[in-house]
Amino acid sequence: MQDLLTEWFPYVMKKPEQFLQSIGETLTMTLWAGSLMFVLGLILGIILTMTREQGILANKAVYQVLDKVINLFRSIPFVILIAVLMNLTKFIMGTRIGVKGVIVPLVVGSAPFFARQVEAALCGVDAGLVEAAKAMGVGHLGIIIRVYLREGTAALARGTTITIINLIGLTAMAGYVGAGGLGDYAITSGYNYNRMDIVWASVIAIVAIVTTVQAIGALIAKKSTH
Amino acid sequence: MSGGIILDHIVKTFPDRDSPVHAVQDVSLRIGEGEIYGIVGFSGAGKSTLVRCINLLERPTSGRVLIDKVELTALRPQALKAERRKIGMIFQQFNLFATRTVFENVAFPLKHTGLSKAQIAQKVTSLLKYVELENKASAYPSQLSGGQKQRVAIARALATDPKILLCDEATSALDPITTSSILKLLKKLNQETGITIVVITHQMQVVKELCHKVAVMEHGKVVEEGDVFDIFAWPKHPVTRNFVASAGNVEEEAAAAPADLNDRYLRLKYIGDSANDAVISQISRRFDADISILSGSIETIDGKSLGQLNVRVNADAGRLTAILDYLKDLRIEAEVIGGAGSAD
Repeated sequence: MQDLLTEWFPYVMKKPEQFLQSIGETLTMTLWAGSLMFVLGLILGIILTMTREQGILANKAVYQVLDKVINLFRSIPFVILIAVLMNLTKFIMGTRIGVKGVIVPLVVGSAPFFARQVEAALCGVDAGLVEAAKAMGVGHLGIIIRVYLREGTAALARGTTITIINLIGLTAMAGYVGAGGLGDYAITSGYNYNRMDIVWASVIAIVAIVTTVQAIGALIAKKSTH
Repeated sequence: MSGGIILDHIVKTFPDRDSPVHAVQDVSLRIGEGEIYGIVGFSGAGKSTLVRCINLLERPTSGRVLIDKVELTALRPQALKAERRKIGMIFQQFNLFATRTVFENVAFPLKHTGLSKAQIAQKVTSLLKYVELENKASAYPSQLSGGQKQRVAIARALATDPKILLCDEATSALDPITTSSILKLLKKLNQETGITIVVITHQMQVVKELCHKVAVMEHGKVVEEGDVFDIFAWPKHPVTRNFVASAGNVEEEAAAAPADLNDRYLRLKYIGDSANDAVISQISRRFDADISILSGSIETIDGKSLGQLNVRVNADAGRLTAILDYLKDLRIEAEVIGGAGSAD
């Protein structure tokens, strides 16, 4: 086994701890940014759904402003976003480099996309269910939690999966601020020295992570569909 | 009348960019406690909007809604929520929560009502027993038939012990046999608990089998209102006649131009046994007219029987008038529905 790996991935096996560290960095970034993105995007998505014209808290002004802000952030390429948010990152995290320095841009870069996913998922909940709950005397918060989020769980799980896979894609650019990760490892240690085994090892690791995320998402969606 | 539902000059207008939609235009109704009240009309007549004004799912543009003397339209949100728990509602599309079991669906409105888990379980079980679905407690809605879904919806609507049940086209998505069983359940419920039921429908069968009183709506207005029996026996407004005209094939025959100029088509209506075939032979002898019976029926509506006879009479104008007078003396309502001599 050891021999086979050394034969196929000579440069990876020369410094295996570097490969493992890159995986760790990618997972750390995904986990932290993903959790924050989930909370922020969920809140924004709920506000979007509730304040739209047919929503239970219809409010044109709030919806329009939020809608435009989300579009604005979605249209800025991630690499530029890192630069744009430099000062905000420094203010929040105390540093603008390393894994810490990339969390803020990752959240800001993925939360608006996730907010749209949440909006789509919640809009898919049958308006009749909302009406029925209203008729039973359920309040706004109850309708959001017990009807929208509960009945939209499967669609939310699918939207979350897509967003996290996107997020993993964004982490590949974390090398720009020295946060490392598999993308950085593949380019700076692999591609730049023409050590293609490092590139392939990175690809395999990322595919494994993405497949796992996909599988978990599909399982949750399946469990919550009856 | 003290309790019940009072709709006082309800107006509901939906703003629209081009022209506002006047869904309900100045409707006033009084629905007594324990009544089963039907609201019929073709689609777009405003009946669904009107029923949503009762529990303020739609807030009327103007007008007042009073339930048991409480003015719903004047309540603050928190108080309105409490009042809504006293009004159950069921829908055409059932609106069951797909991610919850039958048991959880029925238990849904009982959360945060102060009942313990055991009390909720007991309540749900007895409700499911009442709608004859106690063996489906752990099933999901997708595993049920349409009729079973509506039974679950009824159990859920009854969970908070409401005094009023609103039914919005509750049987429109069901086949005739299932419809009948749901109607029987609603009737039983009304008789056993005295719950007031408001039924929105476009099916006259529902009104006939279930309701005590009925209002007919068209273009956002109530055009006719009264006891179901009277509405069936003596419909006045054209829309009502349209709904009641179940024996429409006679009109078709009349419209298909009779060969004989003296052929007239009559629809005779009588209550109970006040008329029968003997009348026909009497008329035939007395006025020397040929009468053929095309169709006839006796229907039981809200506990009373209504007879209806569709006949073709071969008689000239003079004799026809005499026949109609004679029928009037016998308290049989006669309506000329076609033929050469008819006015319409």
